Amino acid sequence: MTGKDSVLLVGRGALAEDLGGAARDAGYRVLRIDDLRGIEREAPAAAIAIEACVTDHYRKQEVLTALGNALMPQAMVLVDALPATVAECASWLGQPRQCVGYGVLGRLRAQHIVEIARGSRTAEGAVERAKEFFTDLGIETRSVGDWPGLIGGRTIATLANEAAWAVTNGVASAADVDRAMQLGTNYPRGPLAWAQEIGIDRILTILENLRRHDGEAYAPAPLWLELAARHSEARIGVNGE
Amino acid sequence: MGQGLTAEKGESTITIAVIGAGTMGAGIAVSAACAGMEVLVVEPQAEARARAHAANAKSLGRLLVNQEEIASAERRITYLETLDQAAAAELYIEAVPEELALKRAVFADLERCAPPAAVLATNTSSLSVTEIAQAMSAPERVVGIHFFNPAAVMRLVEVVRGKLSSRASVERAVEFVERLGKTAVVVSDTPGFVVNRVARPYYLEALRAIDAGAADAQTIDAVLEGLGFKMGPCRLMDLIGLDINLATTRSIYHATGLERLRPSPLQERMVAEGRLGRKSSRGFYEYDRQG
Repeated sequence: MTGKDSVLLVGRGALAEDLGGAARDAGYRVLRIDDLRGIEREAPAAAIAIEACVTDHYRKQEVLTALGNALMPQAMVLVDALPATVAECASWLGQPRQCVGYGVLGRLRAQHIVEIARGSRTAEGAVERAKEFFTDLGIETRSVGDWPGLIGGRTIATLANEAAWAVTNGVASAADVDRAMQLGTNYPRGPLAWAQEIGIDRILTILENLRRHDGEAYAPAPLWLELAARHSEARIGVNGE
Repeated sequence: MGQGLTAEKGESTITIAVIGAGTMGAGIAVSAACAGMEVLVVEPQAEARARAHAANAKSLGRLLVNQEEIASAERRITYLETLDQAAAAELYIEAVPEELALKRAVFADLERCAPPAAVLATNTSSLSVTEIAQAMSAPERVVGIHFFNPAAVMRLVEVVRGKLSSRASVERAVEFVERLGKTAVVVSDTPGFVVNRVARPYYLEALRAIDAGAADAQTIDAVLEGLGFKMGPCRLMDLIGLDINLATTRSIYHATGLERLRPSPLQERMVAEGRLGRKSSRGFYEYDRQG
């Protein structure tokens, strides 16, 4: 490899920011865009494309379809595999051999290991390039299968959901549930506070992914809807609308 | 670790009784003795009494530094054969095996022997406090005081408000827990209370991922330890014992019928094959016989 590859990063928010910053620090030429026309224009020059749409499912489909149409066939595509499986993403992309899933929950710097997920048709070479890319960023990787929510996202989302059910069912208050889990099991954070830190919309997207693939048992607890409503009210208040 | 375990000066000494001298009963007795309480341990079997006595002397030696303190804490624990001999406590904590009939029998005895003003508590982790208290003439005296193993070390105690528990009984249980230097969280009487229930997905999702071939135990543990958990779920199940962990899941699943808490077929197979974790030298990982 002569010099570092060009990376086309599609998405907004903390995830795109963190990945873009880390790639730039590692010497990659990073172009971050968030519109479909930009994809058509910039994709042909990219050796690596990263999709980081985070929560918006329809946006994700549009972005991956546009990437599939505009990228060179040999470009490797990293897809956010927490809201959808690699198989789903590959079907939207239309280039299953180049499609590799990654899992980042919350801020990148708080994560020591990134999960790399291969779909049933992902090429070995694409998986190797994905691992190399993250290693270059100074982040360890672990390979996992195409498992809805991957390991980390699935664990945190289901723990938070069970905690939310406990509050909904009146077992204890949210603060007491978090305190009990930290003191009783040594969890680094209470599951509800942790979910809020990651973003409730992100947790809900993971749970919806699990529900779509693994059934109603993973349906989000009603508490999330209350919290999400309160959260958006608070946001409106801050913006002075 | 030893923080808050010494007696606070100026508070009147209280006497508690612990019924059952197994691991949990012994641990509760040690906690209370370290906090300056007088403790009556009631255990009908002489052998179990002797075992608890020896184990408690050992753990007091670990928890307290000063020889004088160790000796006086040891003197505060009295080992008794029958409940009739423990008729003067303010709080009774039942810590016998997790069988409803056995616990109900203890509470019938308690209602006969304990002073009418005493709070009666169960250390159950898997049975309903309300069901245990149902047959009593004064069920409002009964609450759950659920310690975690090892009881002398773990800071959290769940105080369980049964459907029939009085507010005063719950308040006195919380006060007792705080006097131990521990944190009380009041929970309602539902299967698994807070901790055992909310923790289920941590184990179940790891088991499902392995069963589906999505990842192996090492990968799962590495990913979750990378997120900040002290111990990945597979290493933790090996430590707890897969049979114990499965029994907790089963009891919560049977009581709730919730599909998301259904026990894992992989774990059932591992337990049937005797792969119980550290104690059988083989679980998700292999261990030396020496431990």
